[in-house]
Amino acid sequence: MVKTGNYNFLEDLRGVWQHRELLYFLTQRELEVRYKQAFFGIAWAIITPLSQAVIFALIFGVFLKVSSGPTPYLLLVFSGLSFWNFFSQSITMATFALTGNYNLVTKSVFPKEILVISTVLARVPDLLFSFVVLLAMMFYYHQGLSLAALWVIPTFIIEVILTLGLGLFFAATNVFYRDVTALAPLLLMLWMYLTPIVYPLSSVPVHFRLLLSLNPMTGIISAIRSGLLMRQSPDLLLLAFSLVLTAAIFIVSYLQFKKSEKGFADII
Amino acid sequence: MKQQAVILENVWKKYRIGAPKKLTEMLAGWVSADNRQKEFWALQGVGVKIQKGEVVGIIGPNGSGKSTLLKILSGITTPTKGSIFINGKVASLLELGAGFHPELTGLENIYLYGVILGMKKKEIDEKLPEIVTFSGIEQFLETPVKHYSSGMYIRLAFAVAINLDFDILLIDEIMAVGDAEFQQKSLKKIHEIVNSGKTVIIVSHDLEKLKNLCHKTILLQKGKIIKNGETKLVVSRYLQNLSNEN
Repeated sequence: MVKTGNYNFLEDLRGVWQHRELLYFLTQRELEVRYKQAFFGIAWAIITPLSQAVIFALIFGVFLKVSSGPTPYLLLVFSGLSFWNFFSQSITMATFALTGNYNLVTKSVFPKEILVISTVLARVPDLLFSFVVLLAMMFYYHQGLSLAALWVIPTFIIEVILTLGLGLFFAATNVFYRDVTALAPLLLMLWMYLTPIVYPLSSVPVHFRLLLSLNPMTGIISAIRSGLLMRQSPDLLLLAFSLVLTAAIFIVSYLQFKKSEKGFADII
Repeated sequence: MKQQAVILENVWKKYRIGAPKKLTEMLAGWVSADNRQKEFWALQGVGVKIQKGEVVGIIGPNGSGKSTLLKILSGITTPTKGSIFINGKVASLLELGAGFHPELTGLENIYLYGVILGMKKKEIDEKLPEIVTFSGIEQFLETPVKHYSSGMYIRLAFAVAINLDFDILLIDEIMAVGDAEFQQKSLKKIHEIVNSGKTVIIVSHDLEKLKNLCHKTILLQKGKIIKNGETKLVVSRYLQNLSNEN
């Protein structure tokens, strides 16, 4: 039975669950294709944030002497970049999840958000690799772990949902307006500097700190840092605010995605 | 009464030609009326009932809406107006190999394409020998499909799609796949499916083959059904229309 008309949020989520095998194979395809002909393979997951971190450490840590508190600057920036890159690279790739899979969009029948979800999931191994390097660096700097490090898990789940939400939004909008192809990287670059990545939140003047908190990534990156590097529970109010904003962004984007999905095959 | 497999009621499908993509075009559209996007109705009030186990052909000149009709039946696109009822699982041989990835091997692509077409991994495991034998590319299973010839590529895709579990099969000019030997093989397979009592809908320009295969045929022209009935009668009406035009 083919239905036309109404859509239902839970029904949509169930549709994704029913297609979990497809999700698995598409994610695997993405990973295999990305690394099959790359000489350094998965090492790129480490080379990228590490080289960025070294340059930032040189500019901000050595030249400009930004204070990173008790934490070594390299750790501060590498932890921020690892989790930021997951967010930013996922969204950049998600922007092309529909337009880059022209054949699947115009010639196959399945919930198209699967394409976006698989691009985001395919970035998780990269993050895991750079997370291992982060732990090794912490060991090198004699930074221990405490139970507070477990905060990374719920925080990362919030980050994934936020990433999915924005990924769905950019992917769907890009079908109709290719401007998004140019806009997304620009937006993400500006966004990075408005998130405490290359500086700690504590170095931001108080009245600007409130403004920065409107950015859901602020709470996420801060929570990861306080759990891992400061060994203490995160600012829960800040994290809760990120959670609420994330939920809102996800729901609105997903509804918008499903609403425009019918037009994908005709317009792309 | 026999069970219905497909019911289309007053189905309309509109496409926009030259939709404004750019801001400048959009502004021009506001200023002058003739810059507005043009509409094209690919289907205009199509109504069809197909019973379970029927084999139905669809014929008509290029641009008559045959492919649009198949796309709506397969669920790739939705009608602008009207309602559709489809009873059963649909498999379509419309766009063979959509979803193949050139960098992946033949075997990896069998699984990927299978799940894209709605199979479960377990089903593919079970049908793998059949798929591989049918495609006739056993030696190249570990080769990335980017190194395949176009014939091998299509044969593999056809082998996966035809081995799906389905109730309704949609075919778009599929008899012309691969070399003569493979064409024979696939035609034989389609005859098997037809005889097994499944519903089959075929779009084709090969009128002779349709006469052999189809119980009923639908003649489309400019998005409307001109004639619907026994294949022989509909085909002769089509040929008559063609000679009248010339």
